[in-house]
Amino acid sequence: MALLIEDISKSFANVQAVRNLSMKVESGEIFGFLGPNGAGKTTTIRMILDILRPDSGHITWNGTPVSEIPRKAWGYLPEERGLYPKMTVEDQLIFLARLYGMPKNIARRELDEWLERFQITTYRKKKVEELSKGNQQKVQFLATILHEPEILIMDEPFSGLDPVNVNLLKDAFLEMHRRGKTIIFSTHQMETVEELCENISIINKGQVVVEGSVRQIKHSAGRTVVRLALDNDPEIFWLDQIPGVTVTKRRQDYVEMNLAPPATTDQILQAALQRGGHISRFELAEPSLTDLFIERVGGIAQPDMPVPVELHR
Amino acid sequence: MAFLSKKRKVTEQPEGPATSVMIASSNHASSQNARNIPLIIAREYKARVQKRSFVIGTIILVVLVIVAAFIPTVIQIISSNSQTKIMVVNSAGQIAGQDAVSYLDTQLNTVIDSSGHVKPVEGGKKKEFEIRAGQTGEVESLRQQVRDGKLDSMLVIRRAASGDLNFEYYSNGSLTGSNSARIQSATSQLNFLDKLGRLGVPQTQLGTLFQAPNLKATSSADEKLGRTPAETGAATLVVTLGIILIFTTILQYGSTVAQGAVEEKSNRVMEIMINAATPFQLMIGKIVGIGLAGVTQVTAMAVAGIAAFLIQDPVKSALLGNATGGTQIDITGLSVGLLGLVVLYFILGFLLYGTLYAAVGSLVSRQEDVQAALAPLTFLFMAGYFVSIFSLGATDALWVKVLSYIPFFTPTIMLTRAGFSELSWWEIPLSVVIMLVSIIIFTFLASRIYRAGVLMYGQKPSIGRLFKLALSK
Repeated sequence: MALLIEDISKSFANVQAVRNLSMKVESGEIFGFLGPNGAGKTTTIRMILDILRPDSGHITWNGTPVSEIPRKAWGYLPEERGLYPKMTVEDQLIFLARLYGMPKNIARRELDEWLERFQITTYRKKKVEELSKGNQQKVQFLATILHEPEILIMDEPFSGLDPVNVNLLKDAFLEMHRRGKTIIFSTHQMETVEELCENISIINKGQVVVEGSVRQIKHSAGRTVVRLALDNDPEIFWLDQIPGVTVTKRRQDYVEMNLAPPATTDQILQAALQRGGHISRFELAEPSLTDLFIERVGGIAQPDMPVPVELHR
Repeated sequence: MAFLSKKRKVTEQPEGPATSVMIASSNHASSQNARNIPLIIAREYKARVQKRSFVIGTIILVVLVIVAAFIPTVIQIISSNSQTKIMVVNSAGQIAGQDAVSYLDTQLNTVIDSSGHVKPVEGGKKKEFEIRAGQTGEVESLRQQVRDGKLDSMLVIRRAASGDLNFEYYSNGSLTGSNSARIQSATSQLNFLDKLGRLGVPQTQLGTLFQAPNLKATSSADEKLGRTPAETGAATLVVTLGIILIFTTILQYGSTVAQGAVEEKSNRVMEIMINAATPFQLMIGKIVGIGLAGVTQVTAMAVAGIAAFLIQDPVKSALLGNATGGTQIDITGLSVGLLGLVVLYFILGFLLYGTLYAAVGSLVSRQEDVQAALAPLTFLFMAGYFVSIFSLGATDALWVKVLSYIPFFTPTIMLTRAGFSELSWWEIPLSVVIMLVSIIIFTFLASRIYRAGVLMYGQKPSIGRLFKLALSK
């Protein structure tokens, strides 16, 4: 019971978007599919959905090629959001659910429940273009899940939402998880990944660079970081003079460092006490996923290709 | 995240060059859901007919049709109320034994009956000309009345010393208009009668001199087709309106199909639609749904037009007391058959052009580029239009026959030929078969372009690309 992606490759004209990519997503899990912009995530997602076909390799769900899986098994939230702006929320969602083969009356019943949960019952008869962006996002999410798909594939589901709506959506995620749905999602918010995902795969330039469970990945980074906070000395500049200490972050609430011999944790703690510091935080931690992500995929602050801007009316 | 906002920035597809983004769909599993096409048709149809612009546009068109249908009647009513007043001052005495005033009265006030014969206006009916006799001494005051517009014209008849008649016609209207022409022709008749009378021709013979000749007029084309002139009139009307209807509707709703495809791309709803349905289903649903919206509008116009046409005669007889005059149009079996052909060719033509419009639309990403991209298609279309107009006068020419089998021109040219010349029994079925086959071929090619196009952003469509996509694997 799993979605198995085996050694797929896909090229467009002169660009190889995906190369020899393999992934395994267990049935019923929440899987984080991560990577910088232009890494090949959307292409891979489209191949999973059988919108594009790989040049080579296979994608199967529980042993069946994805091209033979009925459409209603899939729920897709594309990165580029879009609905029919002139249709009402209700018409739109029921139309889509019926396209996936759901009978009208069942779709209506499901819709009632979800509109209630998302607190948008009053917008039922409103045109989509009249809704706020956050509410449009909720409608888009409903368009993905209303037909009760087995597998949910969501490209950046949390982007553009305020914290309240992010929480609402996370709850919906967990609800779908409880219902036994398999959820694959991509995001750039690593905190969300650490919070929701058991397993992740990070891809870059069309290839998997990191994969496995979040805990295992952090652990296998093979290093721990030390976080120290002193009430009376937020910057802790004397750390820089201790041999073997490399300060990696100076934040408002703590300073993070990597330790290498001869530096030890005991030595840091002693030094802090000797200098009369009021220690409010001292912890040994695994590096954050964000750090690992940046470390493994390199300079991703910039997209790897120029992004032309189009204005749409 | 840019999301359905009116103005927004959208990033290029991360895949970069999207030349070969071809959606895998030939055996895409969603094609199993056979209910998708009706669902999409229903959505597309509702999306068009519920638009305020559609409702208002249809109302305006219906009103225009009704107004246009009533214009001939209105003109007739207005003209029947106006009478041309003529004073005749005759100092020449009797002309060939007749009173000049009453002779002019009967000659000028005539109607054409349904069999094409000229008859005097029956007693009690309103006359076009009011002719009265004036006194010789009144000439100058009558002349002043004509200048003042109290009188339309004055005719003075005198006899010269030689015995010949002299006429003077004084009018405040045009001297080249039909009224003047009719009066002038009546004066030459009087002159002729007068001369013959003075030459001693008996009055009984003179009386029959200007009776309508016993003339039977037949057009060889009508004879060949076994049609009456009324039937030909109906055929001309049906064919002309049919061509205009087919062209305007296909042009308008064809570009709506293209715009619809672009709209789905530019607001990115296409992304979820291609997961829910196949591009083929989306394209066919769009063409048929929008086509039905077009049919709805045309039907509304046709019903209004026919209704207006049918109530013309009752309205006319109520207002005018008679239903004579105007063009005689006979809605017979011939016209009903032609109407059927208009409907058939309209549907086939729309499906054929619709696939092309959909294919071109799918390659464009922005609304403002649609018209430019459609230019070659519009050109093909206009070519068809002008060829059809030219072919009206040469339905038997070889080039017209050849063009009538080219599917892009068939709807209008074959219709023209059916209306104006005799077709062999196999010609229409053959043209329909050719159209059906080309619709299937073009639907196939267009759906290939469509599924490549719907996820392609930011590239300019060209004829070359169309061919490449249509023929690529």
